[in-house]
Amino acid sequence: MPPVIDRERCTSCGVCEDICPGDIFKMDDDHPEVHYPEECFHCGACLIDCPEEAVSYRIPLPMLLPVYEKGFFEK
Amino acid sequence: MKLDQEIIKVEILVIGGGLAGCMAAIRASEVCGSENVLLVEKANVQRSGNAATGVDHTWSYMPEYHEPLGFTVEQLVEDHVQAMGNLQDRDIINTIATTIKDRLMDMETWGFPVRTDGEWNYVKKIHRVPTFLHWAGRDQKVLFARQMAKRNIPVLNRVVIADLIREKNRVAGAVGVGVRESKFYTILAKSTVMTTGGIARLFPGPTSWEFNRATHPQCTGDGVAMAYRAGAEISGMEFLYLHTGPKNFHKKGRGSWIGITEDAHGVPIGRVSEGVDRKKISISVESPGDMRRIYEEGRGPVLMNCSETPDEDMDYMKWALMNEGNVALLRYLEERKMDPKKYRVEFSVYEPELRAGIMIDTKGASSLPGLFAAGDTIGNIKRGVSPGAFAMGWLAGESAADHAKDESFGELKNVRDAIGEKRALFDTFLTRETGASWREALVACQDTMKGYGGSVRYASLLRAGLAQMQRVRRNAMDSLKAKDLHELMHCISALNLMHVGESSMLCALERKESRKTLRENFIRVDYPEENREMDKMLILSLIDGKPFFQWRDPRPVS
Ligand SMILES: Cc1cc2nc3c(=O)[nH]c(=O)nc-3n(C[C@H](O)[C@H](O)[C@H](O)COP(=O)(O)OP(=O)(O)OC[C@H]3O[C@@H](n4cnc5c(N)ncnc54)[C@H](O)[C@@H]3O)c2cc1C
Ligand code: SF4
Ligand code: SF4
Repeated sequence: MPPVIDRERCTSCGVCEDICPGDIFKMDDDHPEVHYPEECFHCGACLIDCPEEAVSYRIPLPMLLPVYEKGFFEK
Repeated sequence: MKLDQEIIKVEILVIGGGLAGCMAAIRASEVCGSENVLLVEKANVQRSGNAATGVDHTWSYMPEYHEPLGFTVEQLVEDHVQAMGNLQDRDIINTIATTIKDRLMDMETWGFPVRTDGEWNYVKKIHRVPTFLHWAGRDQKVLFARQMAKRNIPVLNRVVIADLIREKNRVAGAVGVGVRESKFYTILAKSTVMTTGGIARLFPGPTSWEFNRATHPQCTGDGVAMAYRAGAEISGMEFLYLHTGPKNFHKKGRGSWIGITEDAHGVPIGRVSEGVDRKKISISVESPGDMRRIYEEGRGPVLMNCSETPDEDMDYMKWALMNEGNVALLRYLEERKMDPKKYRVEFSVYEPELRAGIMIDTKGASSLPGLFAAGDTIGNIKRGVSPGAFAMGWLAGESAADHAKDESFGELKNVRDAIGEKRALFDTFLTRETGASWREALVACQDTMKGYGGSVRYASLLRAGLAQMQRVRRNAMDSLKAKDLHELMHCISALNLMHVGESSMLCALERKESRKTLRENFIRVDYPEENREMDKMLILSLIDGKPFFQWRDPRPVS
């Protein structure tokens, strides 16, 4: 579920559904629903444009970024 | 579900509202009035295309900055050829270099923050002096949308254009379908400007997560495929371009990282350590060849080390990434407390891409009367990117408006059959009880490219690949099923990618040699040597449904 909407904060303004370049959201009973979670490409538009800061991301497992502390390869 | 029919007549149709399309629509409206222009966009112009959440480096020539350095436009053209390879039309690079300052000035008057703290903030990348204007470009699409609204330019969002209307030897508009409204659009236009951006998702991605792509996954080469089907000249299709960036979390913007690219043991990659400098890009981060070599020599993974980067430069790097579509990546690093100063971030080479497409002249006109093009959808030059989109978009819009003055509308009766066939095809996709999904079609296309049209290519393999791609396309046409309009959009993309793949393999078969540039390789196992006689651009067009090739020298500065 890449974009996750905080129901407490969301005012159902519809901005995310309106602007998403991937057509990921649908308004169901006036609430934004994430219809095509696997098609989100994390462009960040909904995060930037949501006026209520109600959007966060759950990054899919294949996208986990490998990072290494200093000395990791010297162990 | 069946599609309702809507017919529109407009002087100038612009297809795709990214950077080039917005510029084209604005300029066309200045020449012939906004009521005579229509921009049609698959998504929503506010946040669509590769610049959806920002582009922050615009290579350009700004006389007040560059003249005191003794740097000339001629040198910029020379450097661009040097860096990106010989097979580019110099007249187009020169047109961008000489007109981009005016576009940046226009954008400044429209409220775009092209100067940073009142300065032209240039950084050095692929040319000999600093030529990449670094600016806060995050919201430029929002500003473009606002500018178009201010000028009353009509925009049709959430409509995907599916094909050009060809009437005799000219382009007379296009057809499309709604992504949210069940409508089939026939748009008759005197001039059509193709600005659908680049070609993503032709190959499987480096992860199996389909939409995890460094380039915008909705820009699926639609414009190139449509132009190819209509008979326009396309070029550069045989070359595979490789990009690099953070592993797994695929994003463009590697040039914004300020650090040293090194192997697992801390040995810098590239000629020597280039040091850390926010005013110039590390060459090693641009070199997929070097990164691959590190893996092959047993020294991987490749890492981005920012531990020596001063705090002030780390803040600058975050500012840059925030302005270049990397907001989600920054949020991810922040939430997981993965400070890149403390942790080395793994980098990798991404899947091959085509940076190729429609051939235009210096005014944005294609080889087909009535069709203009600009931006990532053109094939004349490499890495035209944002300056190419701004500068050529403007000129294509202007030429389209001029052309429309002396042109008449196409006659619907002449093109009714072709349009009817298209509409019936989409109705079938939407009403079929059972059938293949768009994902199936896309996987079949990508697997064909990977197996036959990728890094290992030779005649028998390419012939097999062409036959397989045609088989896949034929079967897809006979079996695709779309559950809704969103899926229909993906079906259209998959079919377009098959034509892009076909044209790529046709050109690869025709170029009987191997050649290497810094960022694009062309390897034919059966012709391992470079053939100087093929130091030419290979141009493909369909004539009566058959591929026709031309070889021509890159055009000089006119
Ligand atoms: C993360 C990232 C960072 C980048 N950073 C830089 C940078 O710093 N500097 C730089 O110069 N370049 C950069 N680029 C490249 C730059 O974004 C592109 O070169 C530029 O956006 C090209 O403009 P365009 O108008 O040709 O295409 P785009 O801006 O991609 O627009 C194409 C438009 O066409 C629409 N479209 C596609 N198909 C159809 C269809 N069938 N019907 C209707 N509409 C359609 C798309 O939705 C899109 O809105 C970056 C790209 C990415 C992804
Ligand atoms: S933009 Fe934010 S507030 Fe508006 S509907 Fe979407 S999540 Fe809710
Ligand atoms: S990150 Fe982009 S693609 Fe994903 S849901 Fe938000 S706006 Fe859509």
